[in-house]
Amino acid sequence: MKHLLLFATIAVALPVSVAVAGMLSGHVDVPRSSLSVDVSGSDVAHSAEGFITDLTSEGIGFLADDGMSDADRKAGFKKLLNNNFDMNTIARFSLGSNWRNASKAQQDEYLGLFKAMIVNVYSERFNNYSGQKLSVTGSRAEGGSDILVHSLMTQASGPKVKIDWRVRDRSGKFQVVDVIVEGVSMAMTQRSDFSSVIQRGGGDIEALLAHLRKS
Amino acid sequence: MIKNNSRFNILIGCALLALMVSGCATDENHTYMAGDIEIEDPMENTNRKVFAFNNVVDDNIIHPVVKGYNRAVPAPARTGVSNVFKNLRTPVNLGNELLQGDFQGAGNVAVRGVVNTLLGIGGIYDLAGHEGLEYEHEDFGQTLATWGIGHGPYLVVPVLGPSSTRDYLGYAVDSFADPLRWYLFNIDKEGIYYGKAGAEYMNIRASLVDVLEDLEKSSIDYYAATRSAYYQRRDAMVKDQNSDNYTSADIPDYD
Repeated sequence: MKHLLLFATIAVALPVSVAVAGMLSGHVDVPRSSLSVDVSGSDVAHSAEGFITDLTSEGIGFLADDGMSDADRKAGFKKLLNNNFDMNTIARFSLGSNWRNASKAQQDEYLGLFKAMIVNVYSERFNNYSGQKLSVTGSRAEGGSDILVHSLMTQASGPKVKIDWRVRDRSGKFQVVDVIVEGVSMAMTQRSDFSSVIQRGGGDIEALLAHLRKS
Repeated sequence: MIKNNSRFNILIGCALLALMVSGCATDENHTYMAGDIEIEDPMENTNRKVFAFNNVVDDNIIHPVVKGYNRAVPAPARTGVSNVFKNLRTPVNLGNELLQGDFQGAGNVAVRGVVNTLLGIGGIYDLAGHEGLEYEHEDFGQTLATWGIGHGPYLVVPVLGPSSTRDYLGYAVDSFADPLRWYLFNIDKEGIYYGKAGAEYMNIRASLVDVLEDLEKSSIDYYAATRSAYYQRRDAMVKDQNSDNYTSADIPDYD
């Protein structure tokens, strides 16, 4: 089976790659205007879009900086996340109804562990940076006071990726509360993950805390 | 043709059997919510075993192969390969758009097929996509969804991975109805069809390898995270990827 699939892949990939390589290199996608509906061009929508543009270019800026040490990059990333992401809201949402069943001490420990985990996961994830570019394509109102900023990530290889940023307007200061990649909400996926861990651990939040302490 | 029909019957039979088995196992609560999306997983114990098996296959066979492919073949060539597979799906996408009553979508598929086949050299170049006519993956699972049919029980299929009873049935219907398959089987070139199916599968896996490794690293219960992501992704696809249509998780204001 392994050989069949490998052979089939090579059989198809090789002739095509020979024919296409070079012909397509240097080809640049022409950015096209967004199809999504803008929030009627309101000021708050524009500034939310600007917030994501700034945030992502700052992020990409130091990810692409080869002169930076890994420790510096991680520290910079931590600062960027803490300043621009509403960590408390994301943490509480991820815990769902289990939040209410936790003691104050458990809640506090959970918040600390959650923030540390997010920084670790994301700084490692973005360390594999390989020239992706992100362009904001529009936005719309979402929920009560949130704005969903649409963006498109272009990669050196592979298809374009739709990324939506759910931004909360906290009296003039914007904060990200969710990142939705191709329709998959990071916060929701985290919540499903955590709730399964707790449920399989006998409904005790300690089961989750034990895992988070290890990571 | 009898041979093909029996294969198809077996697939349908399996899907229906799965449905019936799950119908019996209602004594325990296996319903989960991902926002508004309801997830039923009455076969969770079996699914977790298949999921673990798939991870072993991924780690030892699929990921090494697709990573080698991603390293060895330049990005533009890989895009060309993906484009060819997308173009070959034109009849299946077209049929499903029509069944969904999405005539604008059907028009897009038809124009894409003609333009990319003729001017894009057999679909290697996605010229229509560059003109704003984006590719849309349509399948019979999505068609059933637009007809109001729910997922049914979650299903982890050996090697193929996450699915649902509805989506797996849809996959069987798409594979069976694919005119390319009828053509190749009629001229006794089944081998080409299976080779194409295998290569298409590996091509999809090549584009997913980084995403899945990310999800595995960032989750504690990889099975539950994958299940949630699968349902969210399918929901977005049914709504044609349009972020104006789908609602994101309703995150309250806790302060």
